[in-house]
Amino acid sequence: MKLHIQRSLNEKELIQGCRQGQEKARRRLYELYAGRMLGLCRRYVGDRDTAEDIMIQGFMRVFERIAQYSGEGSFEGWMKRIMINEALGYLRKAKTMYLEVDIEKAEQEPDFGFLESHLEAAELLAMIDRMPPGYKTVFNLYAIEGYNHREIGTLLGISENTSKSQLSRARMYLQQQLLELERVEKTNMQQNGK
Amino acid sequence: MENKIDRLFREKLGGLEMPPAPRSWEAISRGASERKTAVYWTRWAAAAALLLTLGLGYVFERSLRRNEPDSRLSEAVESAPAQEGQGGPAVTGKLQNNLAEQEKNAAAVVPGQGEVQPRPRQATAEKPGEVKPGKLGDESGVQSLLLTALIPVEDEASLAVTGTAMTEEQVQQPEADAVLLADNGTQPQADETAFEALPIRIVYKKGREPEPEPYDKGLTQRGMEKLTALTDELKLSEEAREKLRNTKEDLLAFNIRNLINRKNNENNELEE
Repeated sequence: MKLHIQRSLNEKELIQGCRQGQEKARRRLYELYAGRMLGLCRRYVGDRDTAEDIMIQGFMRVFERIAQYSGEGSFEGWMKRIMINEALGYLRKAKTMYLEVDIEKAEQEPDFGFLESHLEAAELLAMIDRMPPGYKTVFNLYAIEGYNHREIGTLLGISENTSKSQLSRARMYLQQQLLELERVEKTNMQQNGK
Repeated sequence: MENKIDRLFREKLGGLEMPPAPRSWEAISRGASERKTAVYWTRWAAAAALLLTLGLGYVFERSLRRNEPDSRLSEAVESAPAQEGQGGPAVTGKLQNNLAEQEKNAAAVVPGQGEVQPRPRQATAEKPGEVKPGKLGDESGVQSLLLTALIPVEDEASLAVTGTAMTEEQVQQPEADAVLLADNGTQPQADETAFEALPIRIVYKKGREPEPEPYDKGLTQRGMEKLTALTDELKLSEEAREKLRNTKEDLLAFNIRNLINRKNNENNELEE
């Protein structure tokens, strides 16, 4: 019964506890969100250990600035923004952002129904990892985080048009990858006597 | 309509969760508590600093009056670190910040920490002879304040005279400098050098200099040690993580599970 009560500890109280620097509240917040935040950071950098460092930095910032959380908007969203800023800060230092790779547009559409049911998150993540950094970041921000091109331009210091072109190239790249994966999967299935 | 590629990735990767390493929490709670404690305790540290300033002022005044040798000063200097015990790691941090900002107006550092504005500092700024904080050498903002207020003269002779003339009240008063000059019998000089603030190496008598350096080194060294220790710990954890947790292992686990599921499904279908 005690555990149950703790778990339903209201988010507001948790935030308040963190504001006051209570170790227990902070620990609890970390337990609730660290996994998701690590996953988020992992999408932006290809490397698990770097992602972990970014997540650590991010949580430290969260605890530092928790007094500034006004209560408007979701708290998880607020934390995500902090994590994203940390990730972008790291990428900025890496400086390999805007290499344009020539990608031919694939004519064929992937079989999304098939892909949906047969692809694991891990394979999609591997696909994202292989993408050139500029495309990866814009794709993450637009398609998964849901920022618009104006906001992305502000975050990355690029123009809206650059953001749009990065996004469309990202999609072309992924489309090729998905088609290839689809082909491989279906071939395997045929060979195994399906 | 939303792009299908976008949607596929968003659905599968949007909620991606990965288990963090056990050491990550340690790093966070260590880092966050240090900073947080710094913010939280700054007010207390500022109050403690003010008290210490007054306390040091008292010690100073007594030692000056009696023309005591350096031992008194060294004692006062050495007692400053004791302040750490009260304020926790944050006070160290505060004093370290002071050290780091020695190039700036030393006294300004303390006001920067909070609303505390020790009076001696304000007083000297208004005096006709300008105090030059830039002349102050390596010392904490707390102490430099004190010295700025108390040691505005340049040559030893007048210092000896001045020392005897100072009373306890005068030390605390903003008009301390004016009083000193009056006792000397010299005119308040427009010349800036008259109020040149000496570095912490005060010359009471010829040839005798107090040694503040151990104190400074202590703080800086402690800070460096902390930093190095932290870095080493992180390095250690990185190596450990490199060996233990690898993205490929995660992916491999995923894929193996996937393969096993498929094999099971196919076997089921073959049996039918």
